[in-house]
Amino acid sequence: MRFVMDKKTWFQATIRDQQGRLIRYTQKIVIDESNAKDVVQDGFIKLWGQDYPESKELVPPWLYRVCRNLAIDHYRRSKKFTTIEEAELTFEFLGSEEEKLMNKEVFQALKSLPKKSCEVMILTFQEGLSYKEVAEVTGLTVSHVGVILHQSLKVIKQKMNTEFGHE
Amino acid sequence: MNKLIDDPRITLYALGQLSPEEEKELVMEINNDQETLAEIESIKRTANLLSKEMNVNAQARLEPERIEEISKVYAKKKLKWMGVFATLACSVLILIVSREQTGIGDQKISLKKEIAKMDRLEEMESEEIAMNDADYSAKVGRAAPAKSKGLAFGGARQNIMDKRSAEMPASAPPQAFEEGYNTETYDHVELNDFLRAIEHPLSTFSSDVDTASYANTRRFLNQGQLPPKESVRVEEFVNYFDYGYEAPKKNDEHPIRIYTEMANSPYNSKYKLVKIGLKTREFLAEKRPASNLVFLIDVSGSMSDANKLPLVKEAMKMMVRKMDKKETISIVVYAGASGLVLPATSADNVTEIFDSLNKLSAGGSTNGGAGIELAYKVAKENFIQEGNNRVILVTDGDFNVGTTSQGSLVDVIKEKAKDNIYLTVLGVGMGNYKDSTLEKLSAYGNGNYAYIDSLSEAKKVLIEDRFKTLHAMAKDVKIQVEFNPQNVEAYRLIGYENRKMANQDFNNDKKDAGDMGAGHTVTAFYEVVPKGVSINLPGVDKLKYQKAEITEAKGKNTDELLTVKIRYKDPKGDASKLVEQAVNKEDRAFEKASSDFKFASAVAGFAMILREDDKINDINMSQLIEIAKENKGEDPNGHREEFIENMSIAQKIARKVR
Repeated sequence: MRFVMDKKTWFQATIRDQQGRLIRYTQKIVIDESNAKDVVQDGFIKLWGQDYPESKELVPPWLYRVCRNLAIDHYRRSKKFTTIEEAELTFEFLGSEEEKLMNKEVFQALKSLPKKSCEVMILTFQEGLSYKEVAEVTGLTVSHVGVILHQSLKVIKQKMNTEFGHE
Repeated sequence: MNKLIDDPRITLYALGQLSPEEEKELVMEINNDQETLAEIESIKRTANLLSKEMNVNAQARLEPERIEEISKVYAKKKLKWMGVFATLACSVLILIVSREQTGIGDQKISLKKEIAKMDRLEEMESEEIAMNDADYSAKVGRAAPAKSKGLAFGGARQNIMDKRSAEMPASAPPQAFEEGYNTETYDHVELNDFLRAIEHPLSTFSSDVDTASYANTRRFLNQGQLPPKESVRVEEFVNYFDYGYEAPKKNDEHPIRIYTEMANSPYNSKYKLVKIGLKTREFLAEKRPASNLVFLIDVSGSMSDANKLPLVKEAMKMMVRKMDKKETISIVVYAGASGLVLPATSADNVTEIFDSLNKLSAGGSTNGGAGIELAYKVAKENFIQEGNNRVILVTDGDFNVGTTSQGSLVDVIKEKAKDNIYLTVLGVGMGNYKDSTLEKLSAYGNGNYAYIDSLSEAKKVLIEDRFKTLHAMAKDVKIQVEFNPQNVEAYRLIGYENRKMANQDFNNDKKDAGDMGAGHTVTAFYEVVPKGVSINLPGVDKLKYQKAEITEAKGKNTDELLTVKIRYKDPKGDASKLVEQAVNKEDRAFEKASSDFKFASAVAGFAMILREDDKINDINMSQLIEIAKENKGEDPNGHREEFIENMSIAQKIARKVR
């Protein structure tokens, strides 16, 4: 007796479980929600093209990376930017309505970070990826992600402390 | 000063992301330096704050059109399906036309055949989760899971709801595609049919105190959908409510009592309805035995929704507040890996328990097997000899990683049940909810199974009913009814389809059956066709060598309609005890029945309609709603009121679907 999940079931479950997060993340790059959905839709179609069950092991970092690249492409096309670096600068922590409701100090502290750091923090603490996965998604080196995490946490910690007078 | 403060590794260490070797190396380097350790602690705090604050809902959903677009990647298969549906729709049309000439009976049979054919096709086509648990199917009499959603929604249900009109299946097919995105699984179950008393004088089934099916249905209704018919188990609807049976007294011989009542059947005016109720002994809160409870909580990624892990945490807090040092609580979590989060802790130690609950967060995929092993190990280590030892599994049932097979899970649980460790399964969530897996686990684990869709349901299961849920009073409770063919032409058991047992298993103490907690009630209905009322049943030709007739004088000259026999074991016993009670025939109008009887029959009727049971002829939804309203009674917890609301919602949805 086996308990096996076939590709289609897995694929549908993945869409169901991941779409919300992917849209939330992609929207930070392309700003507009329907554009974000276009990107995520394409991302899933690409996912189906991967070999199964190997693809099972790749998700979710793979999906984040693919959607990120698609989103940057999309953004570049719309803004006629030429280099990825320029496009990357658009990564905004503008967030959804819910995000605006989060603790103001935390929100401000995150917003004050450089864009790249902000993205690393989002992928780590909001999307729950490990630092190695974050490196895979962003194309940064593993050690670079480690340094960014370390420094950003330090900055946020200090901001929180001065503002709350903790510790 | 040390330079580790500026080493990124301490952040990765605080986040728990270093490999064991790296971790070991770093710990050596830190060498217990207080400043560094303090720094690590403060990084942890900031990180926890960030995770908590940034964990906002990700509610955005792709629109159906986009999903449709994506699903084109496996469109080939879908086209084939359209073909099947087209063929089916055609044949149904032909059937409808031919009905004019052949009469409704033929149509029903042919339609059934079509549906059966569909099921088989689906089964072969479907690469859905394959569970070929032959052993289980044989034992409980279930067919392999089949998703026959195609006809289910447009089908007989609306028909009965709006009192039988014939143009049913035309509206069905479109649903099927959307349904493809739903990975909930329910087992296919054949409904009980009428049986002739002379050929089948005995009817045997296992008790079932589960209520999950009702709570799960409520969740569908709240989303504006009728539940898939396979998910409706009539007995779990009926057993959701209390019918005022008095519990056995302390000095009574048996901790379990039988209550019976009969009246004319509301479903078919010429038939009778017999209600059989069981109730176990209760005990006072302060006299409850000590408990060793091990919570086994699924914290995989799929549990992150608000109605899953966060709901469970709140529910557990409510429960812990009701407990004290008589209860010991341990928490084991499982996702990709499993671990003991809270070692056995007395329940009066509220802050400690709340702390570990607060720390739980969802992430990763599910390997239930390892978690179950660990939970039973913890339960055994803290075993209380004269107490109540129980593992409480909280999950959406989506076991999808690692070597976990449903069979091996069942094996583990069966094995552990022998150690007098009981199992409670609490199902949560939606979408990929695996009803069939969870019901099986609880059935094999000497356990019970409830579905929690809201805080108020959690309150019912874990607070109001916590003695029922958590303290076993009678084990392996089996019910056997013997019908007197002198007075009974035919009968059918309503519900309990997957709890039926072979007649000889009633006396076989090795055969497992359902357990009942303290103060639990079990209610079952039989619809009885009295002698002299004709019923058209497929039968066999008359026997050539023997006559089927009532020989025993006892059966001939008595008013006895049937005898109810119960076998149960004490929670730690191995030998079963027998309780018996006879029911005399009675001609009693339905209106004269007790208010609990009438309410219960409305509950069963509602479930049967959702189940698309075609054996209801003389009542419709509106009438059932009236019966429920008139017999609501005191309803201290509001459960009956809510039920009536759910009936109305279902009626509205059914009308809209048409």
